[in-house]
Amino acid sequence: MKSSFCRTSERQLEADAVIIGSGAGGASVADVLTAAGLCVIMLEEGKHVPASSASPLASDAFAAAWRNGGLTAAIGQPPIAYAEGRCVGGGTEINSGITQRADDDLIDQWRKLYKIENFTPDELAQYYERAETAVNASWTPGPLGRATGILQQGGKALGWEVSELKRGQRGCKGANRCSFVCPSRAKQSMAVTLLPKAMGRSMRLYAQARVVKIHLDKGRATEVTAQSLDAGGQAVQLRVKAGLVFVCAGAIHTPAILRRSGLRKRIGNTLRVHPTIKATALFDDPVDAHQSRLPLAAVTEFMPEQRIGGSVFTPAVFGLSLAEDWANRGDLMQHWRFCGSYYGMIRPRGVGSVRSLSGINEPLVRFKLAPEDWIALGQVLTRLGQAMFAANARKVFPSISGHEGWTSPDQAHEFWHKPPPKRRSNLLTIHLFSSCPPGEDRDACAVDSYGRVRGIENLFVADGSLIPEAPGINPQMTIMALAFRAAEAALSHSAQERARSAARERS
Amino acid sequence: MTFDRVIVTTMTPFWPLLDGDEKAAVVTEVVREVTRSLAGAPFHIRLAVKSLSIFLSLGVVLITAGAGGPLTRANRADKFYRFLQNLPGPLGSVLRLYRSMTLLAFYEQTPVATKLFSARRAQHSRRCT
Repeated sequence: MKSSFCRTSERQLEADAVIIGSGAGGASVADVLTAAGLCVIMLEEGKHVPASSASPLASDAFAAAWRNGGLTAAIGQPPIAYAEGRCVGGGTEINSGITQRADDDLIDQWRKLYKIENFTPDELAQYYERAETAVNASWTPGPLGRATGILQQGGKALGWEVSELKRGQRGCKGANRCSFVCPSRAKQSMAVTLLPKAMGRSMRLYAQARVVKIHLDKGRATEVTAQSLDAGGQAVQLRVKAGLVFVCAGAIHTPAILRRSGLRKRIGNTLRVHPTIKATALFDDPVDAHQSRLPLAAVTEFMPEQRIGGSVFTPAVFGLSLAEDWANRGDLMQHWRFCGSYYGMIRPRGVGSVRSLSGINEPLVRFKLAPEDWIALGQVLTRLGQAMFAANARKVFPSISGHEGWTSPDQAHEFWHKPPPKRRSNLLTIHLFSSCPPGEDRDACAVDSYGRVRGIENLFVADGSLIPEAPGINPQMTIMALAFRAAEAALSHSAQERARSAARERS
Repeated sequence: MTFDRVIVTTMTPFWPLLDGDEKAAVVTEVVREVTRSLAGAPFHIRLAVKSLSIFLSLGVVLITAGAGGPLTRANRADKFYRFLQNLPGPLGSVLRLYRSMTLLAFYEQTPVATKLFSARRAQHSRRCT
């Protein structure tokens, strides 16, 4: 298994299909294509980080498995820090493996708005089931710990719906290191599930292979070029010829690759995220969040528009979170075991963009929150504060630089009627999507209903970029479901059919 | 690296307390970590950090010149940082980035983590008695 992930010095490669990216989207496509007997090559920009070498230190894990060591942000006011996986398995190696389906009403709404064919909750159900089976979506065994209990206690005291979250796990040991690559292989990430399965069916995976460009000729993707390293560590160019090309590099890098390849129409113009604002809650009794699993319950009363949940907690990650206002909050570090870190997440109306920059590896990412997003952020922050006080927090510090913190639930109403301050609010997201929305509405959709790039017969998108809008849930299951669907559609439509459609689109 | 060191040194927390040699070794390691992290940042962030860190570190050197001990130096630097953080532009973001990386690296150092957990045990036993 280990040797299968090793990089190679081969330069000219051929296959039936090439998949760019090994995360939830790419691995799901690989599962479908290899099961159909296709010869598949997968190109992954990051390294393989085996469980045996997963570091308990956040800084090592960020360097090994997170894009740019986690130092990525969408430009805007305020900038929104975002995280992406860059390793074999992609984002599934650094997420918490939570498995949720998109809301039925939202799916119906997207189908109508974007004119997406065969896109009803019933039609998607089979793909969701396949995704849930692939990762063993299940309840986490054993006690969930005080960090989860706080959310349950607070939400229930307020009469809100609080739900325990199913995860893709098998025998979770509770190491609380989901974001650092699971050390026990209990998290059913792609490197543990679909990738070994596809490689068992002879898929070749090239790690540390960064795709530079997809070459296009007469409405066909003819070749993918990537920069890699040979066995001696020397740069080598891979040139892959394949009949089908799937771009599964995530909502930022999929549009960046397509735009670098000369495809710009409607691509990368509609990035969506889940803007998230955190709060630190200080309790009289120890929380010892580092000893328990990350909070595995969420306040779901206000979903899909708003959700309240909890974050991975280690002393160092907690220290990092205090950097937003160290002068006023540094003292909290001395009470770190009495603190919990929680968040409120919204489904925004604002939109962002992705632009590739000539000569620079990283694309330019922008996101602009709409005025109603600020109202929603104020509401979710208020609700988060209320939930923490209902769970007996002594003080709650919203993630707003210079804010003195709240000492009572009444004070937590501060932002109910006025939005949080734009310049001082610290926002982040770990969910990115919608940069290539699917559908038959040609004015709005970058790709057709099944992920095929318009005007190109054999080029497909199959990752978070395909989720039409922010779903208000953890997106992994939806990414996998849409990727399974895109791959099946690519196989079921003949090359002639696709060529005719592409020619019509170009005319 | 030199500029990073000047900034990181003034941002390194005083708690938990470390003895002199231990502290020097920890700071060296934290500087190395911060430099490594910043090297992996995207181009536009690296560009902002590289250019502004020169200004920041020179400012810190000037402001802390003649200050007696490390605590006075850190206090003076903190005031300087607070002033800069209120200015518009990327300075605040760069300072925040340095602070984040410094704190993460500091609390992950073995001597620091050991003290954090032993402080935890002491705190716990006091509460239990």
